[in-house]
Amino acid sequence: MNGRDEAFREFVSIRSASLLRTAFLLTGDHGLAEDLLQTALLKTYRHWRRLDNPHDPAAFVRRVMVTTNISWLRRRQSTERVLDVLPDRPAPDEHEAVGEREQVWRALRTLPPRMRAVIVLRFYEDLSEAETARLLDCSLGTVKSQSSRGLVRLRESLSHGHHDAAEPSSERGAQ
Amino acid sequence: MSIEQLVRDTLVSYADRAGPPPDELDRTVLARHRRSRRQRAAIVSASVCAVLAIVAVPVAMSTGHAPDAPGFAQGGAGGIFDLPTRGSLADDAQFVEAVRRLPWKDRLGRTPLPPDLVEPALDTRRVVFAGEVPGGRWVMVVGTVNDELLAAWFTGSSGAEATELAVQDAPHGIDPNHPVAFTKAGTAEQAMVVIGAPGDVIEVSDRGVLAESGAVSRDYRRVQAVDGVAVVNVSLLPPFTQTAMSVRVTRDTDEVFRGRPDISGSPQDAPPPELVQVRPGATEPELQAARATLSVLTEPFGLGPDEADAALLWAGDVPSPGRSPASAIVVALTVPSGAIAVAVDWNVPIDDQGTRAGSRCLQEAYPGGVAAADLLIAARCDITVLTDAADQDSVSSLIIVGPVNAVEAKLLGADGSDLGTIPLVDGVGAPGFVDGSTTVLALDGDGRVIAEAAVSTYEGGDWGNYGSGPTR
Repeated sequence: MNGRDEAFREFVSIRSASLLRTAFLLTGDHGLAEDLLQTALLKTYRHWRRLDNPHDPAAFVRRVMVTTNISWLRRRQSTERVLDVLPDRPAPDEHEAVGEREQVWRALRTLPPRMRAVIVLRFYEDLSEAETARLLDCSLGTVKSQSSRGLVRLRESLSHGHHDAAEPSSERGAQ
Repeated sequence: MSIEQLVRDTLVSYADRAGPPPDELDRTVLARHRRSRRQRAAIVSASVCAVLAIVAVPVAMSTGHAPDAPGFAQGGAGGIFDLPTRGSLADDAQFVEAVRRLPWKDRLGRTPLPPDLVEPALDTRRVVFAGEVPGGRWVMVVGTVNDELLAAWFTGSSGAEATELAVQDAPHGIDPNHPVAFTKAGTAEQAMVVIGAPGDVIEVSDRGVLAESGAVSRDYRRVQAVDGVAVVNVSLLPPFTQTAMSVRVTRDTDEVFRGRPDISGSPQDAPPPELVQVRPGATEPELQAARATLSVLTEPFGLGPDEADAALLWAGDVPSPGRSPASAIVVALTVPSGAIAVAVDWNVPIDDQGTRAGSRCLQEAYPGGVAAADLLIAARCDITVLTDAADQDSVSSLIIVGPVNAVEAKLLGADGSDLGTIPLVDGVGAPGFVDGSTTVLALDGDGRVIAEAAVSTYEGGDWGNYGSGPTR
């Protein structure tokens, strides 16, 4: 085994679990998350020799996962329409926190992919606005507005109680 | 609770539902990488002869199948793999049946299949090849899953029982009508098995050749095939050529396969030649990037460390669309013929931890007869930040690296029009790209033209002419 393979395998061994969690948050689907992570790792491996710091390429993987997921969503949207129908909402006095999380989760899955990525990077990965902007290759202002609008939509999902059918995921008009 | 906190709690809670990553994720990714490498396109170039030392080991006639009959009819679900078992052990019916029934597990008892694949049902499996090869005993088994033909190579030591064989590499899908070539690294004696159809002509090239003219080519030597199977003793090839090899299979007059063999394990990389800095002062990250580029340049030619000279012609910054400039390097590899392979690569930081990523903007071969330091290189570099295609932004630069006594460069359009003059420092300039520039003239202090170069850019493709035919 050469040095590149050894370093790559060590990296995958250490970081794949946390990266899979991020992939799951980006896609909302176990199978897609595994595919996304595998694809991102493949791209990372191909770039490995060009990474000056191959000891922690997690940022590169995250970046590829975000852009790849957006690309995949666009392709899927040309052939299918994704609707996310909420089940009956739990009674307010029953598992309220869990119910709210479920609503937020379902609403999160309906956000446009870039907006969802901003939310995941900011509030799960705890990246700063500047770090998120760098990773997404967009301006600080875009991150601020996407984050703000995303939070508004998530908050609305709570205030509405439930939605009969969420919007299809779409980037159009969201940037 | 604030919406921000609720979102954080939600994300943490649901992230845990992702579960553990798939087993053998690293192996799966590496296997996908090897599969995709086979499919890369290659550059086409002129033919130049090279001295080869390839020895073909005849495979025992054992099946009664018509030997090497031209005009093999394609078709059938298994195509060329839907034939009686071939190889020196094909007559050992007990061994063949035993290996057909083997679980597809590696030496650690793991099933090295990608997550989306399962082991083929026993009744779909066939043993395509079973034979003694230099360095061991190899078997190729195929089976069908969801109408996809999967192949697994089992290997063991010479004379091994069927139960002592294990899957050597991740099984993968194959085309029923395209040949396969498989080799294994890391053993003292190394074989390569090529499986085609009876009648196929199988040829092997040990490495690409960069001729003095600057043309990259290969010389293919026919190896002996029996029943469409060739077993090649790779150990007899020059050192460091395992990753440089190319296999060509011709059926009737059609080239049905040309490309690298699948290499299981990690072949021995040649130590790269020492990198000489023509313009000293490169930073360690620049040197690291240059060494990586050099490795890629060297690989298809199978050159040992003493067979080539390497030079870092220049390293420096160029504008990028990001917050930090891109780092560019210009690396030259002078091969024994005197010709020079040059690559211009760039990279940009993608995080605060020093991780960088980039791409190539020039890959050219220059004729011999001139020292690498005296070349004039003019590369258009479109520095594109890696992001979704619809959103990507780029900044174009013209990297000019010429003889150190060049003090300015004149840019010319396709019609010879003068598009301006660029001052050079130490023979180097990296201005923003001037639209329409097609030619660069390097001028010395007396205003004399000392070199001329066309503006080039990298348009993809393999380096080393592994093959551009209808490969798998």
